[in-house]
Amino acid sequence: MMTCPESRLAIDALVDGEIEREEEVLLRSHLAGCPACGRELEERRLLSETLGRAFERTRDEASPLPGERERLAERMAALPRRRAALAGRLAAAAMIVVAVGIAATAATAGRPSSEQVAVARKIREQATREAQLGRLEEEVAAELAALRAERPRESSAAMAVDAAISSIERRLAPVPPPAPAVPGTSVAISVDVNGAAVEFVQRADGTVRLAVPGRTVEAASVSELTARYADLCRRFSVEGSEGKVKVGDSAAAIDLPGRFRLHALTGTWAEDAQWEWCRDWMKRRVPEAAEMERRMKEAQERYRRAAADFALPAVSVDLERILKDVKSLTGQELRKAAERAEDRVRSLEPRVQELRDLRGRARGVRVFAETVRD
Amino acid sequence: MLAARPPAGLMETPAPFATEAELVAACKAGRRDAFDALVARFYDRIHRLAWNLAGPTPAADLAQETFLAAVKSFPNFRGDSQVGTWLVSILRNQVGLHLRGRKKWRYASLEGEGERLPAPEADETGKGVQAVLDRARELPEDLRTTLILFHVDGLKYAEIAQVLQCPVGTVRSRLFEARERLRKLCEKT
Ligand SMILES: [Zn+2]
Repeated sequence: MMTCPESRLAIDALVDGEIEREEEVLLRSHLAGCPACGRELEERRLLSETLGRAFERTRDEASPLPGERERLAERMAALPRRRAALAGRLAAAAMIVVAVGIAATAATAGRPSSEQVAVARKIREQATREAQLGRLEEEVAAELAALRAERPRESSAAMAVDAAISSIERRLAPVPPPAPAVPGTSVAISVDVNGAAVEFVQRADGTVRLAVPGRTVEAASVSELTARYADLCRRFSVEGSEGKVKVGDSAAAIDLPGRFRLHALTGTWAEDAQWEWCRDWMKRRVPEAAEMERRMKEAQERYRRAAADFALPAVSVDLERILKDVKSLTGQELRKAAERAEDRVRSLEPRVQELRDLRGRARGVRVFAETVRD
Repeated sequence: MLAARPPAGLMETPAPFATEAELVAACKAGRRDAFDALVARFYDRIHRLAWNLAGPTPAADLAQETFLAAVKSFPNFRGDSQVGTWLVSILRNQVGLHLRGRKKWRYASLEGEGERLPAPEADETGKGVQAVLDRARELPEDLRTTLILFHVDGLKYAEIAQVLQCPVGTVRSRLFEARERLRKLCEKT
């Protein structure tokens, strides 16, 4: 038999045409005896219709303007074939003026106004960022290739390095490939936190479920859970990383190979697993405790230094060339072009940071791999 | 200003790719005519989604970046989802980057975006419908995205789960929560 809260969830699935057969049977029998949920069904149906109609009405407004596809075709044609050389990327960047939506006509003669120069600078900044992004992508790929070539032979060391590689790769891809489905459970904790029953499960495929009284949330990984539901996790003292979680006073963890596997599956990477493994590895080789600690510190220091290089690739974009195109713009077009360039630079910023971070991590893991090579 | 648009169906017909598999194979081979067909088939859809997810100003850029990224990563496309769903995943990433970039800087919401076209007529139902849309903009990003993927793009739960890389159960509970909150938001006004 279904409870009312369960029926409410099922009602949406019914309205959306996504209900499973057995569930529908249960829901219908609940509805037969529960007028409140019956009214809810009517209301949800109405709400869903209103939503559908509301979005339908934006259809025209939300459609592309004429010329956009042509502009896209030009940009696609300008894409360098396969592995782009820097020259190709710069050529594409120089076409940005076309991309900001103007058919550039012949350049007007004469000195550029200060506004024109300012706009050209903004466009150059955008072009520079885009080229730097391309270079960063190549640099991360190169670090990964090197890391693969230097991959340690000892199988457990290789496992740690492989997990790092695949977590970096997942974040490097424009669309991370879906994680393969793996049946089973990795970590399960069922505990009482301040009088509330809390249940945490990380499945073998890395996805997690946290159930607290009145609420159940799901996420693709522990790090996603603690980021997205930060308040909830704080309230019920949930913390940890993939395969190693603490809820209230109870902690559960799987072995390191298992944790590395989860890191590889979810594309997350916790340094603590890496160092835990490294400590084990060193203990077996350096019996003297003080000496082992010294070596651990040294390895961590080297890792940090390698990972902390945040320099952006040097790229130069010709301002004159952009200025020539900018001069053909009218006042309103100029403002639009500047706005678009600013907007684009802003939107690229997080990816630039992310790639810098990934490059640092790849370099750090290379140093780590060197440390644990036999 | 609203420029005239050619009526749907009168666009030039691209080289025929009878099945999606043919289109994918040709795109993987890097064929220009295949990319043109890809644009012809999916550009409107991706643009509309971008418009709804991120607002009118960045919509065109986001749609374009989506196709450029797709062209670059076609070799990695494994065909375990439909091309359309894959493009939506790429768009979703682009929108994520865009919104994160904005948050770091000065814009916090989609309000005050220039050039919003005036809403069409405002009869009674029209007003109600507009109110729902306005409230939908106030939802947290993950709820709003799920709602838009369902109602604007008509994706199935399982496809949304693919795009958002989350379990189907999450899609279901997000849709529920989005509508629940919308209803409360609408009641308040
Ligand atoms: Zn009921």
